[in-house]
Order: sequence, then C-alpha cells, then structure tokens
Amino acid sequence: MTKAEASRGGPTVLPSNTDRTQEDALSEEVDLPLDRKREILAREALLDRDHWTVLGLKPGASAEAVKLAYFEASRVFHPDRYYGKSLGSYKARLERIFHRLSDAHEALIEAHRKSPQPSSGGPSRPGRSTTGSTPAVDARAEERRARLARHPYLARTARATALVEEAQRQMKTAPEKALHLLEQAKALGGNVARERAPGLETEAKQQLASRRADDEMRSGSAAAQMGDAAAAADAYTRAAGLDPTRADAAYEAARWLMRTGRPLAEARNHAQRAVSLRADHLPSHLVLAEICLRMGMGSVARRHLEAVLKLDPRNAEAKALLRQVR
Amino acid sequence: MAEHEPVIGIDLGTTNSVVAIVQGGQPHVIKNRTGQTLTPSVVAVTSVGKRLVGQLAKRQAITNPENTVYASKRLIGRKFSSDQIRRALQTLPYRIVCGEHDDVRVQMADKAVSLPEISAAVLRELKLDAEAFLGRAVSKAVVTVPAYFNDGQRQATKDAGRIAGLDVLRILNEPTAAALAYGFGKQVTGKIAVFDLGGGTLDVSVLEVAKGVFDVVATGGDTYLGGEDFDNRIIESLVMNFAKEHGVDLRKERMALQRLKDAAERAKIELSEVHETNVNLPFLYTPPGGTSAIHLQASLSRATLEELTKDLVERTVEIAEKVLGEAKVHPDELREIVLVGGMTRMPAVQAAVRKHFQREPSKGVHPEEVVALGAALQADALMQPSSQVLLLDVTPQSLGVAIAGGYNRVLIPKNTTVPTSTTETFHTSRDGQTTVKIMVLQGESELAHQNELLGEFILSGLRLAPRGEVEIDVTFEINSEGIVSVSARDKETGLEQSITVTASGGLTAEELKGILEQQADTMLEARISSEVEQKRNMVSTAAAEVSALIPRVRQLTGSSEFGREALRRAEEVIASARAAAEGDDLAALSDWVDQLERTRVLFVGVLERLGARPQ
Repeated sequence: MTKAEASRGGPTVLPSNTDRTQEDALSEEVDLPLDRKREILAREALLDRDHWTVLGLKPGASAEAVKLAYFEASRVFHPDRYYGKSLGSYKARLERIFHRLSDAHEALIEAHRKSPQPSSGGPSRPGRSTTGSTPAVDARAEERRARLARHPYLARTARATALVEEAQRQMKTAPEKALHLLEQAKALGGNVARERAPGLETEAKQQLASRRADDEMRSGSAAAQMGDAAAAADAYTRAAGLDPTRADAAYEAARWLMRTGRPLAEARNHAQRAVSLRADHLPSHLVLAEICLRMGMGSVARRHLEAVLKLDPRNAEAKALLRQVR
Repeated sequence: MAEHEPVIGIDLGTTNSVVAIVQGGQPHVIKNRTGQTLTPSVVAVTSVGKRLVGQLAKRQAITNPENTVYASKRLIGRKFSSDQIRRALQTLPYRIVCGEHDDVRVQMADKAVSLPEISAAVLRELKLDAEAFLGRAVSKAVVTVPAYFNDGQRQATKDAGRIAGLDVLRILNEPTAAALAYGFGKQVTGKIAVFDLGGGTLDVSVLEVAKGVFDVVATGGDTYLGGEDFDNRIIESLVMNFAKEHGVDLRKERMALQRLKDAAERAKIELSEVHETNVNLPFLYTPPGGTSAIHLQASLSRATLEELTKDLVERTVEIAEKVLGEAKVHPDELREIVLVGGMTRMPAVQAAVRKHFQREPSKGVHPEEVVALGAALQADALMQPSSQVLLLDVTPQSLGVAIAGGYNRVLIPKNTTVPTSTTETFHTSRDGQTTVKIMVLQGESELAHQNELLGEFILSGLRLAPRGEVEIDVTFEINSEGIVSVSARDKETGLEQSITVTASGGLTAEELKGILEQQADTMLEARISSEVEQKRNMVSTAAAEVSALIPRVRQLTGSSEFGREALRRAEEVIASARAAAEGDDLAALSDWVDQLERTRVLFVGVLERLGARPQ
C-alpha cells in the first residue's frame, strides 16, 4: 500500500518550489526506470514529515507493521538494490531516504519497546511536524535522552551533573568538599556544570566564609577575654570581612577597634554596618554614637542616641553619652 | 555485462578459507583442486624459493617452520607495536619484522612480505580454484572479515584482494554472512543470534530476519579469541610438562613448536568426539652433543582440555551476552542461536551457549562453509536486481572526532545501520584559534588515543575570535560501500574541508598519543596555570590567617613545651608554604593548603579552650 500510495500521490503533493529540481531529476540520465525515479522523488519529498509518514504508515501502527514497512521500503530504497548502476544524483537521494527510513524505524520500534501499547485513541493526528504528543513520540524522546546519556561525551556530562548534585548536598555540611566537587564538575564540562556550578560555587564560598567567620568570631572572643583589644579587633574585623552579612561581627569589630586607638574611620564603618544590619540592636547604636562622638560628629551621635532612647527610654549609657554630646 | 560475470564469495579464515558461488539461485561451495572444501590459510616458501599455498604449504610446515606462515589473519592490518603483535611474537614459529610504517611483515626466506601479500596468495589460490570449477575467468568477489575488524584491517583485506587480481565488491562481516546463509531459503522470521567462534576470532551478531531482508541489529566480538588460543593452551601445557620431565624448553625450538601446534590442533579436534586422546611426537627434541633424541608422549582428556580453556569459553559467552545487551534483545526473544566456526564443535562451547541462553543452539549449517555461502549470496544479491536477499548492515565500531582534552566524541555510534550520516556543531577551544584539526577516530574508548586514527585534516582560516565563538559543523558520512567521509565547515564563512577515509593513517598508538598530548599540552597548561593561581591564593590566605593567630597562641601557650613546639612547627609550615607558593607544583600547593588549614584549626581550638577557661 505504501508504494502505491506514494507513487500515486507523490508528484502532486510536491511543493511547487521544488518542481524545477524535480523536473531536472526526472530527466537525469541514469539506470533507473521513470517509475522508480518518481517513486524515489516522492519519498524524498516526505523526509521532513513524521516517522509514520516517512515509512508510509498511519500513526499508531503496530511494531510489526513498522518492521514490515521498513523492510518493504528498504527493498525499494536501499542503495544496494542498485549496485553497479549509474545513479547520478539518485545515489545521494537513496542514501538520504534510507538513512531517514532506518531512523524512523529505530525510533518507532524503540517507542514500542518502551510502551508496548500502540497509541490508541487520543489526539494522534498526523501533523506535518514530528512533534506530536503521542505516547510513542514521548517514548521516543525518552529513548533519545537515554541514548544521549550513553554517549561518551554525555556520559561525562552525566558525571558532571552527578558531581554538581553531590556538591549541592554537601553544601551545608562540607562546603570545602562541595567546592572541590564543583571544580571537578567544571573540568568535566557539560551544560549543567557550566550553568549551575558558578552559582553553587559562590554559595559554597559564602558557606566557607561564614564558617571561617565563625572561627574568627571565636578567636576574637578569646582575645577579648584575654583583654587583648588589638587581637580581638583584628579577629572580628576579619570575621566581618569574611561574612559582611554578620551584624555581630561588625558590632564587635567596631567595639574593639574603638579600643585599640587606631583611626576611628574603620571602626565607624563597621558600626554603621552593624546598625544597618540590626536596627533594633541598642549596643550597636551606642557604639556608633560613641565613635561619632569621638570623631566630633555630634549630630550623628545624637541621632543614634535618640534612637536608642526611643527604644529604651531609660538607657543610662545613652543618657550619659547624650549628655556628652551637649 | 556485469550480470553475467560470476562473482564469488570468499571466507578468508584464520586457519582455513572457503570459496563459494551462487548458481541457479542456490549457493554452493567450490571444492579446491585437491578436492577439499577447506583450503588451509597457509603460505610457505620452500628452500628452492617455490611458493606454496593451502594444503601443500600446510603439509610441509613441520619441516619448514620458519618459512611457513599460518594464522596471518591475526596480524593483518595491525601495527607492529601493538600488544597483540607482541603477544603473537612469542608463539609463532615464523619471524615477524617491522615494516616501514609500523606495519607487520613476515620474513620469508630473504624477503619481508607484507600481510596483504600473504592473504593475497590465499585469495589467488581460491580464485584459481573457482576459475577451474567454472571454466572461466573470475575477477569479482565478496570477501568476509570478522565483524570486529577495524577499518585498517578491512582496507588491508581489500588490498589483498586487489593484489590477487580480485575486485572486492564488498567486505562483509562473517556472522552476517553466516546468518544470510542460514536464513536463506528458510522462511525464518524473527530475531536470530549468530555465534561464530572460528580459528582466530569470535563474532556475535544479532539479526532480525523477515522476507529475505536481513537487518543486523548489533554485532560485536573479539579479534583475539579463537581456536588458536585453545591450541596455545594445549601447547603450553605440553611444553610445561616436557620441561618438568626433561628440563628442556621447547618454545625455543621452532620445528618442535610447529609439530606441537599441529598435534595440539589435532588433539583438540579429536576431543570434540572422544573423551581421551594421545599426543605422540617421536624425536621431538634432539639434545646437542649427540645424546639420543627425546620423544613426547602424553595423553590428554576432554576434562583436562576443558579445564585448560575454561576462561576462554567463559569469555565467549560473556561477549555474546554483551552483544545481546547492545541489541537490547532478551535471550527469550531469540528465534535461533546459530553456531558457526569450527570451534563451536567443541562440546564445552556448545554447553556454555546452551546454559547461558537456555536453549538448544541450531547446528543445521555446516559451520565451516556457512560464511562462504553467505558471501556468495551477498555477491549474488548485489549483482542480481531480482534477488530476494537484502542485507541491512551496521557499522561495527563507533566513529568520532578527537576533541579538546584528548577525548573522543562519537558521531556515529556502533551498530548504526549504513548508509548513514550525521552532523554536529563544534566550537573552537582556544581564544584566537584560527585552525582546527579534525582527527577521525574509530573505536569505543572515551580517550582519543585509545582509538584507531582513520585520518585527519585541518580546517584553517577561521575568524579570530574568543574561544567558543567560531562554530564548525562536522559531518560524518558512511555510504553504502562502507566508505567513510568526513567534512568540516565553518558555519560563518562556509569554508569547508573534507577527507575520504581510504587507508589507515599509518600511525602507531604511541605516535597518536604523542600528537594528542601535544595538543593536550596547551589545553592542560591552560587549566593547570589557572588552578595553580587559585591554589597560590589559597596558600597565601591560609598562611596569613595562621600568622595572624600566632601572637595570641604564643601569649597563651608559649610557656609550655607543647606550645613552643607547635608554634615552631607552625612557623615552619608557613615559611615552607610561602616558598611553595612561588612554584607551580599543584600537588605540593594543595598539600600546603591542607597543612595550613590543619594548623589553623588547631590554633583556633587551642585559643577557644584557653579563652573559655577564665570565664
């Protein structure tokens, strides 16, 4: 049925813009009868269509029918059937047709393998495009993905993806490990690694920094307890630098820097940040106020002290400082 | 008139070769001029310089071991430097020498003969047999090779045909040929597996057959697993026992080795029929100094043989399973398992196949003749438009290109039905890269250098651009003749270069690795230097962190022995790490980062403990 249909319907369904080349091809001097030439050109015109049409089948045909149609068509279009003949442009045409036939056959058989039930009912209208949503087509896509995953290059990509995912899991508990995994993933390449690794890397670095900041906070507090203002200030400053979102680090850095007798500008920056990170933290306001006071910025100091008193009207320290402003 | 010219099918085997033809629609084996269907694939040069082929050559092998070449199929198309050749060197009584392009040659009398020439001698013999049978000239043939032969081996076999005066219409895979012959004339429909264990190779193919169309689904095997390996196991065992008994190593005696080989093969064949056999080789070794000659007398049981070759048999079924897996065919789906090749007569092999596939293998075909019959059928199918037979064959090995980093990117996976073609877009791998080298690879390894290089070419004149910006389309095409052509096209400019792969590149694995390494060097360097940079930064950060901790630690623990020791070590680590940061030894840098980190953790811990106490 396929052959007959194709050769009957062939020439008339050809898009008009190919008529010219079709005409040329029909008059080409080769060892092929005119009928066969027509048959070849007609099938060639169908190659952009869906797998069923290429094989001359109705959508949803059984695996058995697909196989038979493929074998039947191969009998006509396999280049070996014309071995030793002068074929001219038809040699390439036959190879193209056969390649498409074997692709279609493989895809449809694979789809049947995945979901043995032929697509019954459903909106399986044979569109011009191959992107219908029959189960067979979905299965085909799945198979394509599976086949791609086996591809050596993509096997690496898959490994890279696995590494990225592992890195994500390790992120919270072991950011260093996560960073290491991401480095490996990037070395392997692939889209996932390319797209996700940089973001995760930043996250891991932040995690790592916040851990270091924890350490610095601890050594800062150790030094503070020893009364070593310089060491405490250094440690807290590093903590604040490692994790700029840490209000307590900024606060402590400001507090201890103020006591070292170093230029107050740095201390003020930290205090400013501590206040903006935690507006309701009174000690931060007080530190900032005190620093400003010492720097001769009375009005700024007053504003912060007033903010403190607004939150805690009976704050003695604020009152004392406010008196100094005046 | 091509239609009327006879076209023969030839099974060019490792141990024996067979020629066949289709007459009146039926394939027949052509008997050779000595009345045999099998012609030993043996070529010899006598002391008077006469060339002998086949039975005549085999018969005089014992007295002329150095100039008698057998099993040459295991050497054809291989590189002299390959492992397989190195292994073969140890067991072959004839001398193998290295040709100009790392090809293998055999020293026969005073001439180094190439492998295609040796195969050509066998092919010419078969051609003469066919001509004698047909009473007319024959100039066209279909020749079979193991499915797992690579392009180089196929080309060499084609060359052999040309030297013998035969136009090789098609190189056909042996298991496919076997399936053709098996399925011909029967109304077989369904999936069949062909298990072909011959003298030198194992081939397994899965085919789907319906109405005369033979669709190969998957094919695979091992070019170094066959009857010869079974023989060698017997030889080894005999040699070892002989050495134990007489203290003589027979492996150094070429003539003794040749006789052992003959005897081993005979014993192996006999043991397929009987359970016990004797090996009698009188006067096998004559010690220097005129003492009387030593004879070899040994008995060999089927059980011993099976023990000696157990692993070989297991490997055959493992490979068969793998191919079935690749074909995505469950053993239950198979209509038949066809046993082909002389080695499948061995009961242990049949038992292994039976056990693994849970069914009785078909033995309805003559295992030694079926391949030649299939070749004749394919020859006929190509020449006769009316033929019922159509073969849809596959590429036995994957084809790909070498990509940055020394990897192989497969474009046409193995078991793809031919003819086929595919196009993939690649990018430049370096900034300002104006040329790309396209290296065409055949094989399954992810690492480029572990594959066969089929050919290479350069596409130059690319636009100067950052890496990844220039796009290159690479197209692979395998036509129905099995010829591979590759082209590369600059998408922007339309600039194009292409090659048709016609002969193997003549490069050794080493050379190929060298070339790839040269390319990889720039790649790898780029990556290492950025990594080094990163590690150096990590070292200096970590060192600064530890240094910063030192004064506090000293203050707290400096008075104790432990503290002083720890501080001294920490300072040493910092100094060494900073020194290492000047260099670019990645491993050392990583090591110092680790050590610094450990020190830091230690100090932080100490400070924490001591700092926590006063409270």
